[in-house]
Amino acid sequence: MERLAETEGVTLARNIETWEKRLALVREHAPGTSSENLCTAWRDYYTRIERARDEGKKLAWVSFFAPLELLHTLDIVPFNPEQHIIAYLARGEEHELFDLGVGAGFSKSCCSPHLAAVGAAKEGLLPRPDFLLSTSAPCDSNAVMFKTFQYLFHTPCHFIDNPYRYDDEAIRYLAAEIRDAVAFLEEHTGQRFDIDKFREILRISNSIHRYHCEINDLRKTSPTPLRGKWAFSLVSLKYMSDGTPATLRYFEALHRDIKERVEKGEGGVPEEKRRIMWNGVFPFFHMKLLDWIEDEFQAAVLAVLSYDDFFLAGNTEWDLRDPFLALARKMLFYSGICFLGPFSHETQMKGLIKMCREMDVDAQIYFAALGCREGCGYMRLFKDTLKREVGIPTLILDGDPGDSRVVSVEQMKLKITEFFRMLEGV
Amino acid sequence: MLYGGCDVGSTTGKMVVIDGEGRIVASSIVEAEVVCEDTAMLALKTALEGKELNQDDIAYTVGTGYGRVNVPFARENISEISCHALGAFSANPQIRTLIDVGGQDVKAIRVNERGGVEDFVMNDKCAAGTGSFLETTCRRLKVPIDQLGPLSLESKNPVKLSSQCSVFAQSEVVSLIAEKKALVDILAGINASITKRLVSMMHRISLEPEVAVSGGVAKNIGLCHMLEEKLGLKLASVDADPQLLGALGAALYARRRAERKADG
Repeated sequence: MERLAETEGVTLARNIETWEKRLALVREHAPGTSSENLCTAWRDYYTRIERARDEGKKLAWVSFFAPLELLHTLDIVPFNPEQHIIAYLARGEEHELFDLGVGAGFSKSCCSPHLAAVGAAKEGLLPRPDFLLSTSAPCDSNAVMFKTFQYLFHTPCHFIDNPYRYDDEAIRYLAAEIRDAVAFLEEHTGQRFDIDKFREILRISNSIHRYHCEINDLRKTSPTPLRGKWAFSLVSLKYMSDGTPATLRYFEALHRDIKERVEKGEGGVPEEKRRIMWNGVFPFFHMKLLDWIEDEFQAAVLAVLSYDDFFLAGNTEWDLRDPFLALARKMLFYSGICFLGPFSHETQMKGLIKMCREMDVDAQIYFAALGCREGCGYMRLFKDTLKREVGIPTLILDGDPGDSRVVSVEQMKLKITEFFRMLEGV
Repeated sequence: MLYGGCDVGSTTGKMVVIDGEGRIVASSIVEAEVVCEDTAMLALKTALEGKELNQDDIAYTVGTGYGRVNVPFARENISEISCHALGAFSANPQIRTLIDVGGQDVKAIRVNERGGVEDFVMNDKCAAGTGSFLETTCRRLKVPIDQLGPLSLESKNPVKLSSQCSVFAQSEVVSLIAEKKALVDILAGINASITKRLVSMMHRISLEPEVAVSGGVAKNIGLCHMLEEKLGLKLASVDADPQLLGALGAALYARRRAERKADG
């Protein structure tokens, strides 16, 4: 019982309570802003999950980049355990779940949010799924985690195979995979898939995407209007709740707010001296590190993860005549976020180089996350290529996304300080 | 006019005082006290002893090392990577790659043609490859740390240590003793294990000659010899005690800062 008390923060009830409190604060101090929409969207996301069972709805655990639009069409409630754990780690509550994950037999050297998610699942801290829906993107560790969930819950699990390249054949292949997923979902819900409703939901996703592209364009201005942490939170919501009216309302409001900030010349970092590209995941247990960089060095943190629409930027109007092809195209692009995706190094580098040039960045911080094979494998190639092609230096920042015991915050700060000193030429 | 640099590390404190031409006029290396401030004060006092100098003669002091924010007489602090780079550069302007093996961390630094930092990497996940690793292992073998280098050079058949972890390496050393391996071969094996880590760190920053070693470990001739073998080059000599390079760099920064302030 003591163990459960220590991990109480991971429960849905705690999340709903947290977002309710934030919403109340926003309504008091900044009513009518996009922050209000953000809090509402998150609160509703968690509430839907908590009430799913009582409302007779199926609950599906999903991976990042899973086609949420399919689930919304069939009125299935999606729950992303990895994101949920990341949000939990971001509150600085940790360690216990890693040990539980190890106890469940998951390797300590795997991705720590995955390890913690397995620990929470094994301990019964998360709502039990009716079935699991995962994609092979963004990484093998994700696939292994979903297989472990299947083993723990004895639940049906469907995998969608993301191809390793982006071309017409790959899109057709993925569209077929999505159709297979529909068959799986129909079988486990006993419902017929409504193609017109599906198309309507995709229209919402397309509108969200359009706003996201415009927001990213606005972020190119100097000073950039968003702080790094804030920019990350917008993709986080999209990954969890794409295709929903609540997410669309948030993006609409955020676009309005940011446009206003740009027009007034207001930056996330008031005296922006530098622009740093943060490549990779973050030390979620201490997201304040981003604030620290921005305040200590007047360096705006621009993040690859929050530029997931970059690849799709030229495609703001989706062709919905074949909605499965449209969804396949979206999934392939989204899962291609720079370093994590299934794309080849050349494709990723091309995107990153273009992004660094358009964003006018001065340097890159590459977060080499322990346990992230995909992320760490490319670090030297990214570093050397950006130096050669864009002329910017890279700091390889070793760390862990969830476990503060691997590299301490102080050690990271020391390295970052050295890096900025180097940029300044002391 | 005199300028000071005080490098407060995890195992030692170093103080360098230079004149307006950058010449070292006083220096010290002392064992670290429990409290950083005490280490700094001891290093200062020891450096000034018998020199007919006192603290007031030093116009500007910069603190460096992990205890740099706790140097009571420093006007400002600068990180050790920058200080080691400048210190090494001033002692030999041809140096482009520097490996600094400190008590608790290791840094590989690419130095530019002005003595600034071009690139760097640091170990930060464990103590393997650090001065502490050598010290604890020597303690286990009851070998004075200053004998590690000379004794290891006597080895004809260095053992291969498989553990990278400092703690597990201790157990491995105990096993090697039990297997009646020669002491000099174990010591050479310890140096070889660290050398491999240092070489891989230097390659991460695209090693470029001349290459030098700073920090106390630079006095381990066995390790330096192995490094030269592995790198296929001769390590650059420096015109100063390699253990003082961080403090020297700090003193040079102190001179720059003071001159800049004087120029308004």
